[in-house]
Amino acid sequence: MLRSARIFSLLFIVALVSACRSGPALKDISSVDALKARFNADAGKPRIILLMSPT
Amino acid sequence: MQKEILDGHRDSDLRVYAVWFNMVEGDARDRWSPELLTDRRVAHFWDEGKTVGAFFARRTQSEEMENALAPNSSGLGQPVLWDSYLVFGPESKWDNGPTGIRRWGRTILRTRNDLGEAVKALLTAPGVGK
Repeated sequence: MLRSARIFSLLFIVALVSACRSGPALKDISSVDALKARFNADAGKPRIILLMSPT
Repeated sequence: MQKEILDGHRDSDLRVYAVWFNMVEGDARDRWSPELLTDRRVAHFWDEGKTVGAFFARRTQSEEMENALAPNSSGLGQPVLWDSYLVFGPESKWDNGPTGIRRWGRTILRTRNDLGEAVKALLTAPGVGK
């Protein structure tokens, strides 16, 4: 019982650390509409659009 | 970008939309590095069809865009705009396209000083940026 609890705790900690380490998400878009929606949702804030290739 | 713009204005409510797409040989979605821009104010998009770059390439001839172009920009006139930034103020709205562009430039490295100055001017304006 005690061993199971320890294993569970260990797995929980590993999962927590992994979640904290995960970087930003990369959202797939197929048109400008998703960007437009996000841009307008942030109205009232200064905004920058960056157009880049990954290498 | 992370160091010069975002880290330099940690308390601002600046928002950055990083749109990534293939442009040169070797580019691929799995070559994208999540460690390049980690600031929570950055939203990352993968645009496989280059729709955003093509959209803004078509707008570069507009008077508003021409007036906001960083002087040292180069490599313009391509069907897809890339390696580029576009800076907008808080009043900007996107109907047919985003209005109120303050500055844009290409390449990012070549015109990074203009980018820095535009962001600084924007964030230090009264009532803007925080």
